[in-house]
Amino acid sequence: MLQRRRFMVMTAASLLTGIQWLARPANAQGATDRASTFIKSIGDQLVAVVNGPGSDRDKRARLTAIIDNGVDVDGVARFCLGRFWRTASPDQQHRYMELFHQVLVNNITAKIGDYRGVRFQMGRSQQRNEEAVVSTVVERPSNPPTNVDWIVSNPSSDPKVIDVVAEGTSLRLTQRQDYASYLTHNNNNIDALINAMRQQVAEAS
Amino acid sequence: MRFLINTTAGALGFFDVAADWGYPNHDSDFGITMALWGMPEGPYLFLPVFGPSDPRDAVGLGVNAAMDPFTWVGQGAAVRALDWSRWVMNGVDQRERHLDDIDSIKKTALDPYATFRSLYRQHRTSQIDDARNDSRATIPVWFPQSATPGQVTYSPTALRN
Repeated sequence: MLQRRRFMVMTAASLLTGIQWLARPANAQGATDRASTFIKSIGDQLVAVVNGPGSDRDKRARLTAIIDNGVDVDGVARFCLGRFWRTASPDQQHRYMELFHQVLVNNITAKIGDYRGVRFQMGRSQQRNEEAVVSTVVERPSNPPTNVDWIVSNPSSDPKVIDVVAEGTSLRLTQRQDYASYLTHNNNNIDALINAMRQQVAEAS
Repeated sequence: MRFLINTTAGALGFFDVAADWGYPNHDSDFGITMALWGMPEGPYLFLPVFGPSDPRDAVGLGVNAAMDPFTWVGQGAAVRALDWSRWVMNGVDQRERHLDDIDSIKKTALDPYATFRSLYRQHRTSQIDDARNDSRATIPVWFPQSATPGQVTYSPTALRN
């Protein structure tokens, strides 16, 4: 009696693990494929706006829309503040988030002119922990081709870009070290950072 | 592989046949070699004329210059003057090429020094990782490799800030 129950439990367990084992590779493949299609579509949209007609102001507005949809700006903002996020008050966090949105868009759209005629090619896509890494090669006229990796979070459910790695340099990590260094030199005063960001946004517009 | 192919099929190195066969040229320097031997980079330096560096790569620069045959060719005041001019013009030329990027970083970064340091260190680490993971000396480009291109590894020091 006990033998038979044990036997049934064993077969059930092995069946379940067997099914999971079969399902896992397919899931990973699906996730990287989705990440690839996601990046391809974002890239195509960006290229269409940059290379298309319209004034720079027009293009900025459209690029802002694409960035807001495709990039997890809040997540990147929190990453860029690093360990100071916990020490900031909710009001400071809110002001910082708003300014970060604007700073990010300004930084990206400031050099639209340089990117006229840009093209990109899709490369390999891989799963790493819970993110997908999509490799691309970006070609600007009169510049050597650049290897750009796009890190996509939640590739199977709600893909969003959380980082861009150009030739091995992560943009959000660079920004974080910039802010961390600025705060260290200003007595860890987050208001000073917020004011500096506000000044940057005012100068850019 | 490149040496082997180009010396034989490439008529003692006059023709770069190896590139067509799948072994393209690549840049390296002694700093990368030392890093692959396991030497840590040390503190961040900003050298005059040469720009961002660190003790290991600064020594690498020196060794590179020593291995460059043009350093030893010729003697006399004229040759020495030309030698120094070569280094200075190289510095000026490199700076001119990157002037736009340098200006844009100075404008958009709250702390340009930290930004340059971060960019230099990340780029250097990625160059060294590429060299470490790369078997391009022996495996041709068209052979599928399992190495991951452009992998970002956050070192503990990078995340501490």
